[in-house]
Amino acid sequence: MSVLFPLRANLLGASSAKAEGHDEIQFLRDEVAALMLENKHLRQSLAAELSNASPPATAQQAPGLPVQFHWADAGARPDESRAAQGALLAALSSVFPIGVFRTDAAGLLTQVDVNLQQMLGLELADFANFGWLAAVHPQDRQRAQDSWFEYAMQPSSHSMELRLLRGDGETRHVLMRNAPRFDAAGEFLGQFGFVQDITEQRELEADARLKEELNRQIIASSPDCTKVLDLQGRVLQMTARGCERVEVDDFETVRNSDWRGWWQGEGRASAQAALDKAVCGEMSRFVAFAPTFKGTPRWWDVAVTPICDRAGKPVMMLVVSRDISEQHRQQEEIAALSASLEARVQLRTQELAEANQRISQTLADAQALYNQAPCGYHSVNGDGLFVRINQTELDWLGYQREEVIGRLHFRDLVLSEQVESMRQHLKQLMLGEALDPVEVCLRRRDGSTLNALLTSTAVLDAQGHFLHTNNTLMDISARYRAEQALAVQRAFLQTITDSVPVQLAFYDRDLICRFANASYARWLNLPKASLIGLHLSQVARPQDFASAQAHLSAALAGEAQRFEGQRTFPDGTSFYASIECTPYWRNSVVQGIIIQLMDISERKASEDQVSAANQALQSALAQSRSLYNQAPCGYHSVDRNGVFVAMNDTELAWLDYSREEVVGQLTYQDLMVPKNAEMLEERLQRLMAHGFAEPAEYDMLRRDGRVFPVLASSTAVRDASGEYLHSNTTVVDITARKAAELALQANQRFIQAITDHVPGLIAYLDTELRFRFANANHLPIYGIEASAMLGKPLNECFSTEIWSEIAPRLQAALAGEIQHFEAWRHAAQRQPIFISASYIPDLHEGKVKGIFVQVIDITERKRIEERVTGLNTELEQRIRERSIELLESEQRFRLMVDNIRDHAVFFLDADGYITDWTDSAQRMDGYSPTEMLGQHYRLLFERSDGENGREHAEKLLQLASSRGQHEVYGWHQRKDGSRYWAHALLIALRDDQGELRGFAKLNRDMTDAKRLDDLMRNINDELEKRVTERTAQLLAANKDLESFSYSVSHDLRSPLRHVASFVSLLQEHLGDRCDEVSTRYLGTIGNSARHMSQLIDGLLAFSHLGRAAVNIAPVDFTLLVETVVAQLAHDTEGRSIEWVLAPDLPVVQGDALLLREVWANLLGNAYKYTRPREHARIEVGWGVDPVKGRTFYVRDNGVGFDTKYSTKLFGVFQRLHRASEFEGTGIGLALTRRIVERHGGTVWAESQLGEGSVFSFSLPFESLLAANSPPEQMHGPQSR
Amino acid sequence: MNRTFEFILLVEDNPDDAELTRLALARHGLDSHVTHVSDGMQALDYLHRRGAFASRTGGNPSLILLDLKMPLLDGIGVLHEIKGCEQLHNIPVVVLTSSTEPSDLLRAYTAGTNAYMAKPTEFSQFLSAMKHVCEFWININQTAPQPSGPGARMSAFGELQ
Repeated sequence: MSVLFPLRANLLGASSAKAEGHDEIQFLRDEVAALMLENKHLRQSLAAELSNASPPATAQQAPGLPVQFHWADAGARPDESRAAQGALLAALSSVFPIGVFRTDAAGLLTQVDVNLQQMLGLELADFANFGWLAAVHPQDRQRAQDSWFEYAMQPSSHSMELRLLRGDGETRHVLMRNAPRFDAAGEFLGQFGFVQDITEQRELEADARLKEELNRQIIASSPDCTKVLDLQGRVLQMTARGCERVEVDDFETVRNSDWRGWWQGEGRASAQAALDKAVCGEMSRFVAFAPTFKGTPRWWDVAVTPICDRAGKPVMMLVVSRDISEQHRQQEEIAALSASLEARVQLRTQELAEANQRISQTLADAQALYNQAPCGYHSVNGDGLFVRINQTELDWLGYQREEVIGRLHFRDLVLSEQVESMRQHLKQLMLGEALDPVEVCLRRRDGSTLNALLTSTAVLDAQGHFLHTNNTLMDISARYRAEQALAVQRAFLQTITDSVPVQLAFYDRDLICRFANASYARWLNLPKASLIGLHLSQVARPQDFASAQAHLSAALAGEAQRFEGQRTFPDGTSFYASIECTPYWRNSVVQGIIIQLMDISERKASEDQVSAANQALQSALAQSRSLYNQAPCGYHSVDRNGVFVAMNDTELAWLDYSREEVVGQLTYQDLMVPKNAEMLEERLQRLMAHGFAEPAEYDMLRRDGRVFPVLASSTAVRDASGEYLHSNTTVVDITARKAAELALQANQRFIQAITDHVPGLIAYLDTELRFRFANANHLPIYGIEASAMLGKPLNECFSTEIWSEIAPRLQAALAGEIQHFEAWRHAAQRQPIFISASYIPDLHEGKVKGIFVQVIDITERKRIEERVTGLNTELEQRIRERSIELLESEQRFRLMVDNIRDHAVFFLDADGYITDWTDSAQRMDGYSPTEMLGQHYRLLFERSDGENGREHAEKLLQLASSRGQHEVYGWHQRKDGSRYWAHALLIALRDDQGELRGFAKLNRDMTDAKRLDDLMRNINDELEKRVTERTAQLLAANKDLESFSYSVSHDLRSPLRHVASFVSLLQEHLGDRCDEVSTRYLGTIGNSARHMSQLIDGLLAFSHLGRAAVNIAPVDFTLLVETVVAQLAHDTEGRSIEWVLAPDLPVVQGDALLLREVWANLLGNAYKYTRPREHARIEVGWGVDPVKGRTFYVRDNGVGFDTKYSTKLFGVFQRLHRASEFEGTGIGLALTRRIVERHGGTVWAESQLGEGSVFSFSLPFESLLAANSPPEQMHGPQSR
Repeated sequence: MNRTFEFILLVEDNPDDAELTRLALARHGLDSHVTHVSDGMQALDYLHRRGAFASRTGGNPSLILLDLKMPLLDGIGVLHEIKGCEQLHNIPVVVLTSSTEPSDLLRAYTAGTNAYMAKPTEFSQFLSAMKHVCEFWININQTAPQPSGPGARMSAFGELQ
């Protein structure tokens, strides 16, 4: 195109008129086609704009285009075509503000439509000769002109953008396009031109560019590596800081590189995954390692965000990589620390497990010890229920452990008569009484019984509450059996002694009956048992007791007594008893007396008979003598030849002779029997020689031949010279005497027969120790016939052995002393017998006339006694054996004690002096027994504890003694100075009588457990310390913040105030002299200062909120909202605002002042952003969300905002509107969010740009508020 | 009431602030009644007639306008001294400060100030706030000051902002 395009006025507006016929139709069809093309283009552009999507292909189908052309095939008629064209143009111009022009092939304007004229603000005439260029912006004129020349005559389509400068100074952006027109022959006819006003679009673009720049700036200022990638992962752009981060000196070196290639290994996979997600429109984030381009190792926290077009389709990706190497290093350190801690804990856990195992081993040992102890152990709780029992006891009882523990009471096992006492026993234990061991009889499962000695102690907890009892059972069945055996033996003895016909009883020193045999009891007619324990005076008749008193005293003094006396059976029959009181010696002390009564009534009776016979004899002799002397007796005299020289009548009568026949006639020989001749002859001679002859008995022959016994005594009668003259012989007829003598002999035989049947030997010795009496029992014992003994001296009857033994006793008896003794006698052909012999002098008128001898065979008794002795010995032997067993068991125990690991066991006496230092103690404490025996055990404390050790040791002993046992934990020092943490148990040892015999001390090495415990405590302490430090740091930070806000308040506000104030003063000062520019500048300064002041106020308020306490109280939202609305509505600036407030806003829990701030902000915003609306509508309502609690909203019909920025809304100083549009500091919503969050709620917003917004917040239900409220104690004391 | 003592003591270290305050007072016709000292120590010296003010004549001010943040001795310290002093505690004190910190407010009232005024950024607002102070001052100079405890008459003011 050359210089000018003169406007051909004739052509303008007339071109259509000139078209004719087919050409015209063709022309019109072309135009319509061009218009259709343009329409299509415009539709595409609009669709593209609306969808913000670049590919026009898809936009073509975009629905909702404002205009659709339904163009039937262009009609054959020109007028129709013209009408169609006109309609089309009209339609186009009404929808798209486009101007249309035409040029000819030379590039001259042939037509300019009205729209274009308006667009350029030119009259039709002004277009000619490039007059339209005047409307073009000066800067674009040259370009417009150049383009026109270049393209107007080209048969091709072009477009260019221009700025127009309108008369009112406004700049408009227009897009010019041309479409070549051809005739049917394809010859270039000219251009069809379209001018479109795209000002709005360009402005929006500029705005967007500004925003983009802003974003770029923000991104550039971020310390992270921020990159933009295309969908293929190529790096399109990267911030300068980003380059620094990844150590790229020149971005161009990495431009378009594959970002995934920046990663290795896992990082690459993560990057790939993140890209894949971003392509799908999802944001993702990952942490990975990658070295920088210079090889510095770095850890990155990478966020990949898709950048979407308007349709939400990802077009690019924003990758923000944050260098978290430092954090990562710290995390790794923490992880390492955790791992080492973990390892330590594991090690400790293992140690603990080992310690546990050791402990459980020890426990098992102790359990075994407990279970296999030679005595029974069990524990019962307060109800007497078994809580523990050892195997030994279980074995004794024949039960399984499961059957006993928690199921049986101890009292269930004792015999029914002991149940109550066991109950009492437990009750006393629980009351803390120390009890003596008791004997119990337990019933085994099989029903048999077990006698045991039960020792019980109560176990108390640290507070002294009863926990359970510890009981030890000793099987005393053996002892019990021994005792029973003894009792049986005693009963046997009793039986034996009972069968002895002797009453036997034993009285102790106090004359209390301790033993009595059945005879004795029978005698007294009392049950034997009731006799035991009675005093002798209660047993004997008073007169007997009184008479025996002397004997009893003597017996108690040690002398055996024997006496006789009358005793009476209860039925009144009396008997004569020989009573022996024999002192019972034991340990050289008279323990009592054995009283033995023997019924000697029969003997006494015999003796009496003998005595009576003697008396009869005496009197018979006396009578006979009297007859001889006084009564008629014979007198005769014979001469030397024996011839009777005289004879008295009595004699003559006896002889039946007359005197004459005799005197001088007969010799004495004539009147004698031949057997007496020699005796009489000799008698006569003796008479003659000696003058007298002893009385002699002989028989005299009577006349009738009968003889009769006479006793004759003769004296010689001599003459003066002494010559024998005759004899004087007195003759006594002794026939009666002879008869008496025979009777006596018969009587004696009777006595003999009786005494022969008395048990034992009975004899009587005269003073010359001749046997005067002996009963038949002598034969079986001494082998001598009793009759043979009579008259014989005793020494001839017995062996010299016996004689020498008894001779002194006989002498003593002759001297008047009663003798008792016992001795063995070896009788012929018999077992040796044991005799009890008594020699009792026969006192007659103070003289000893003889000795009564009584010998009783007491072999049986002796045997019984010996048997008893034997049994006693046997019993002793058994006790000795038992002692040895016990000793052995003690040794076994000792062996166990010596070998317990981890324990030190030693024993103390009652005063705390060490009596036994076991191997285990030596092993544990290092002291040898020689060092420790006899030492007070406090020595073990004093080494480590000094003076306190003494008190401590004493106290422990007291506690153990009073409680049975006492536990204590503490450090113990070994001999070598090393220490161990000991669990020490001090057990009081008591004997059967409950007497404190000493203590056992068990120290258990718990050092491992203690160390572990300490370690755990240290770890806890350390954690505690860290928390404290952290708290202190936070408090310090808070303090810093406080002082910062103090400074801001004081120091930042002052200068602003000065600026504002002095500007205002300056304005006043200048007054009229101030020109418009100065006024504007001063205004700006003042406004800036004020704005900054507001910002500071906002910041301060925001910072206060972080520190201030939230004062929870009921807040009536109805009132609160009404107040806030009333304040806003107060100054409506003539606006029309419809306030729609829910009538039932609830009362909530919260800080009224703060919540008022929330409402003020939200309602204030609604008020502010509805300003452009003619009719503003602001609605307040609420609802309930099951999760969030109560939700409140403020809905307005204001300008709204783009939802994609909704998250930015609540940041400090974040604004979505230009300050020129809506004033504000950008702090209000941040403040709102903070307040709501401090109430435990959330705040959010929804909006549709241009249609309004809904701001909502939630408050948790009251019950949750307290739980959600942040920890206020972190903030210093604040007031609002 | 002795009218010769009707003046205001302004305690303010910042000369700009002092000037603004004086300007504001002047707007209300009280410029000639203002004495200015530039820190807390000086204020106490002035009140106790010590140091540089040992030889000053005249009585004590009928109102003290006191800045809080000052070098050497701050406003709270001065307040303590004034309110703890037999001769001075009846003088009304208005704390005049930049700070809106609640803690400052609390400290000031705890120390016994009669009124607390946070200076507004806007001069016009400052003027209207000072107007109250001036009215107050005029008020106390027209009627005999009550010997009652501090703050009783101050309730009309409270926090001005």
